Amino acid sequence: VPPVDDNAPVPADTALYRRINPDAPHLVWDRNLNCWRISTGAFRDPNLSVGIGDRLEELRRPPETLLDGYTGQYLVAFPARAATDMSLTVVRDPMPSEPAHGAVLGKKRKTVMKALATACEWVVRPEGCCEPPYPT
Amino acid sequence: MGAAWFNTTVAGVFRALALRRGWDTYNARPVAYASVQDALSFLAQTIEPTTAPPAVVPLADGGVQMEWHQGGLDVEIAFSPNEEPEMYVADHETGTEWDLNPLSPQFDEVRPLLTRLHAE
Repeated sequence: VPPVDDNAPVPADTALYRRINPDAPHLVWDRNLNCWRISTGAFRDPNLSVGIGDRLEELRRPPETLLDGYTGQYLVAFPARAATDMSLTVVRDPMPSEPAHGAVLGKKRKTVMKALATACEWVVRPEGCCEPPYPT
Repeated sequence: MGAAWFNTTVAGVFRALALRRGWDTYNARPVAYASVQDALSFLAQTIEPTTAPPAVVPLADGGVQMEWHQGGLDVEIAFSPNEEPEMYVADHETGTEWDLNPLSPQFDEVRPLLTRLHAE
């Protein structure tokens, strides 16, 4: 896997990973479908931290390693395109503790939160989860 | 308040208010009292006493979101500091969706639907 430049744009089809904390709670029970769904509330942050897929590949790390140290949490992925299509900016923001760290920048009103949630797929799923994570 | 939703919702609100910065394991702000006040005030004025309690979801910008997924509806109402409140309603029986400010006159369009959010 070729090295990824920290200043390189994030390709549209790159997976962005976001932890889902059930204690937040960002998992809510759907009585219509009898399953656990993610809340759009998980995507409100104007500086939304994510793990960037191409950097993880370069580091030969499976995405599940983003949960190391976060016992009991779950993981979803959405393509960078889902963010850029909503006029959000995806940046690489490597940190000493997480070189694959990035951020999705921009205000996230309800329409944007829904678009990100709708684009998600489970990577590490809870038992009894909805499929997809945000059914519409 | 003898409303079915009240005690459970207030308990959820207290849990949200107890969250410290970074509660989402990233960099979330603490939930603001003003957001909670706005949310509870809205619920007290608009939903029926027999309505089921919503899920109380903290937001990383210091806001709070109330949501129900029942009765063939998805209902989400978000209150955040310095932002207009937002409401999303999807009626799966008719395939209709609304995005609105719950404090606007448009709320009257969706208000009758909320009777489907009865506690079981």
